[in-house]
Amino acid sequence: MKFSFEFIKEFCDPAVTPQDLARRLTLAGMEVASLHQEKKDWVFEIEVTANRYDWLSIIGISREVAAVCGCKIKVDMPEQEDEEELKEIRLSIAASEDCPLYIGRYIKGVTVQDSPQELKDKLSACGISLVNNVVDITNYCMLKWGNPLHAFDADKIEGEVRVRRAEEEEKFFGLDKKERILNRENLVIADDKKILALAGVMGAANCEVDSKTENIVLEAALFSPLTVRRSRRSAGLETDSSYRFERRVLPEYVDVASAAARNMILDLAGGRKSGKKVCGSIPRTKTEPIRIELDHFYGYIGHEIAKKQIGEILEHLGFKVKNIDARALEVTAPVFRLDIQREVDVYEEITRIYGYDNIPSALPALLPSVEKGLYQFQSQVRNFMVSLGLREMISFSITSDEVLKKIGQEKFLPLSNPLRSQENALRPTLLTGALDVVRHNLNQKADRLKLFELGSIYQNDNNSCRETPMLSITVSGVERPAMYLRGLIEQIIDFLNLKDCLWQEIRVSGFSAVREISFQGKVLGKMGKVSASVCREWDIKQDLFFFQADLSVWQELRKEKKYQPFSRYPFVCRDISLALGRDMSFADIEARIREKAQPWLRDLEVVDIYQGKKLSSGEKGLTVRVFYQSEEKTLTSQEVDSLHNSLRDSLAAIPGLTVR
Amino acid sequence: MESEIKALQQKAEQEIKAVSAQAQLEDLRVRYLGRKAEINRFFAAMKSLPREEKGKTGKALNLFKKKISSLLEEKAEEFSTTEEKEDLTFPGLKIDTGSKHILSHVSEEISSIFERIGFQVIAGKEVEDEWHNFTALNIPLDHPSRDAFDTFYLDLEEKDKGKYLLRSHTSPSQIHVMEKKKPPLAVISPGRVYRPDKVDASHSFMFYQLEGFCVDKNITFAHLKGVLLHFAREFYGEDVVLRFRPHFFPFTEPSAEVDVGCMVCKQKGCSVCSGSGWLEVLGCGMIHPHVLEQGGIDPAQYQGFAFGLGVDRLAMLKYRINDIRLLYENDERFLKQFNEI
Repeated sequence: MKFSFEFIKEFCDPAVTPQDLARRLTLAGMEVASLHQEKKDWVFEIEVTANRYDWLSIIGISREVAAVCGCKIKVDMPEQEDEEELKEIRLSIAASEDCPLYIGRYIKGVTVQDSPQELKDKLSACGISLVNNVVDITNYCMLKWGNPLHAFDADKIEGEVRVRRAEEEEKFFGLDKKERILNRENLVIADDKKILALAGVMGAANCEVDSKTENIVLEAALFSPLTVRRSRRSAGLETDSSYRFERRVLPEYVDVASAAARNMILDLAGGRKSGKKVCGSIPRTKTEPIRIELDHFYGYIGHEIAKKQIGEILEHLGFKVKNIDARALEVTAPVFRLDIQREVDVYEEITRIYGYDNIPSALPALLPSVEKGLYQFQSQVRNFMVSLGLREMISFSITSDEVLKKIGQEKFLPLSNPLRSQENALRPTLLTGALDVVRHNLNQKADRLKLFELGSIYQNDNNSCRETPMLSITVSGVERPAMYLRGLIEQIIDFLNLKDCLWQEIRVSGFSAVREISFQGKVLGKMGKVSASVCREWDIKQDLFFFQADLSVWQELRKEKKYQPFSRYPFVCRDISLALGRDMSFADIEARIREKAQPWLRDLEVVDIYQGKKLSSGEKGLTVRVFYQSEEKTLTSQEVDSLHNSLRDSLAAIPGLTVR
Repeated sequence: MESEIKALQQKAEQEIKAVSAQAQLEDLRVRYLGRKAEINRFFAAMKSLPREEKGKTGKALNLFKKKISSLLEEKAEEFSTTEEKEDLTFPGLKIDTGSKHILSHVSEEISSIFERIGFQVIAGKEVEDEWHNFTALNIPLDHPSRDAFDTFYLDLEEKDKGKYLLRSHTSPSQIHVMEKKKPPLAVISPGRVYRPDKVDASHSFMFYQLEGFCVDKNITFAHLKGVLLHFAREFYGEDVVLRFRPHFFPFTEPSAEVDVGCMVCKQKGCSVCSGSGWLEVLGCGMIHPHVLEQGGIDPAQYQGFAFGLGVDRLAMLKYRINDIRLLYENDERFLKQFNEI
């Protein structure tokens, strides 16, 4: 909302500079977003919050100015002698819930032309575009009183004017020269043949006041905020008029604004008045008295403000203040403050004018809760991931059905009102974000990626949403990525302090090889290689490995660590060179090593993997280093050799495996 | 002759001391102790000396040999340890470090500031129903006060608490906590929120917020100010300037917006603060009694405050990140800048 300094000065004398006024208003809650000079005037642009409908008029703003500057406000009411009944046109309300009050005034013989310069300047400063004297006057009165008005060319009206709901598919051609198809949500002003206006929103072009207009009907009305809101949303537009009706206008000013406009028209456009018709009645608005217990107020704000000062502040804001006793007041908000409904609303009025900055600061004494939940666990996991040398990424939870189709995800939760089709589904996996991030970085020539993400996935669970906190790890472009990722997972298993986890082969769409890691039947996560076809879709030309895990399972399974005694006797290591046959996997020999190298097996490690000339095709050469250690003694090399040789013999017996 | 030997010894000692390469050391050994060494001349000449002189000179010569060979040895030792001088001018290897995302970092940092004064951090859910996201927070479903909260809806059947949606702010976490726990409450709840905004340098359809609230028998507006002042001093530094500006939120009364003095220009006015010297950083207020009631808390007995802030905005202001899209692009060159934090 824009207003000018000179306009305000018609109603009060703030006796401060525009800059000082802007600061005072801002600190009292009317945020002045900008202040600039225009000709000899100063233009304020303010943010009007949804509760302060009374700030959508210059008079309302002047009241606030008067309150923060401690000056008086003076508003002259327009002259209103008894008026004749309007005879020329019949008016009626067919939808009284949508429109409790409709006032028409007929003015004959006006001369439509440009407005005088003074009026033009005033409207322009407030950001209102100029049309002609009649329309400009209705806009001026809307600005001043807060009540939107509309002028129809009376000679273009055919038959009776009715306020009614639109029919389905009824057409409306607005002053903005756009056609809209209406429905039952829309409230309209119509004559026997056509729609004259989208009620409270915009007039129709067919009864526009132009230079040829001689007779006009001036409309002032009260439309239901909800009706106007739904109507203008359904029609897809918002105007200065609908903005005010939606937030509520003052019923007491409907007739006042109309009379003021009529007087101005007679003054500036000539013509003579010819009757008024009132359909419906002015609904009575009443504000209830609210009891203010000073002790409660002080205990709410944490500061004492003298009773006398409280009274003054409220009276400046237009409240009626009644002294109940030494510790209590009864206050009644003015009728234009229907947002004041209970004591806390009054507390805000007092403190905002007193100044929030004048309230002291204090710290409450809190007994910290030490309960640990998902947040704390996620933080721990995040720190652990960083310690493993991974970088955290954050990607969008919203993706699209098309993307999900590419990775073979059929089940997901769609959004019903996406902004764009690229964002129409909730992700059921963290893979979508990972693929986008890998593609982006590869395009930027960053090809060594070790990333993790903490975020939720969403699934349809019996027609409601199941939201699961997950962790993903994405690895690409590092040396031996599969072994690297597996190494990370082994670290995770250690972090969770679990032993004897199962690595089972499973199939997952979008992946060419997957292992599911579980502990006592609970899935700790799945690691796999993203399939070549998915990589192609994302233009990823290097191997990509991905791991995803449900954090709630981790949180449930994680065991506290206890010190484990370790052997202080030296360990001995022996290498075995092997050639794995075409269809063999390491798992095929690992179990044998773990079994046969007992009781002194401490660890094993693959120190080399090679393929090449010395091996027949499909064979894979390996060097496995076996670490032996006893808990009780220093092993002699004979003891180790004897165990190691029997391990070699046992491995040599595995079909397809060559011990070299 | 003794004095000659002494002079020779001095000369040899000096020369050994001055040696800078191992090869020179060998030359000196040959020169002073080798077969053709000068010292041998003294040995030869010794025969012709009188008996008492012979003894003295012999001693001196032996001393000479001992001294010089031990000096040579010492020097050789020195060379064997410093010989292969390490070149420390090679560039460092590229070390792979891990890092937190800047949003996680800032969110954790803010949370821990409040944790230290007794708040508990609780994760919230992102999928909500209309009742928790709007109605319980005093935001009527069809009202202008809802216009600030455009919302993504889920294509799911409506249940008794309204349609499912992606929360448009973190405030519903207030209601969830109140439903589960009894006061005293002092809770921080950070997380993702969603609004169907067109993406540009300052808008994203997904971003991070952090909600904080405190409910007990005598929590006051002064406490709200104190807690936020403490936060601002820790987050921005002790000399931070705060301004509480009255505002409207449906779920708090009285309500305020909080501005911090622009740290870029020290309130002189710059492009970051659009010349005003102030930057809006959060919204707050005393929890509306009706909201407490909706959470099952008796407003006649309890009162409290709540605040909400945009983590993205705070992170962007603090680290001078000028485009919100950088936060969600996950470019390696962006991510790695925050290694140390």
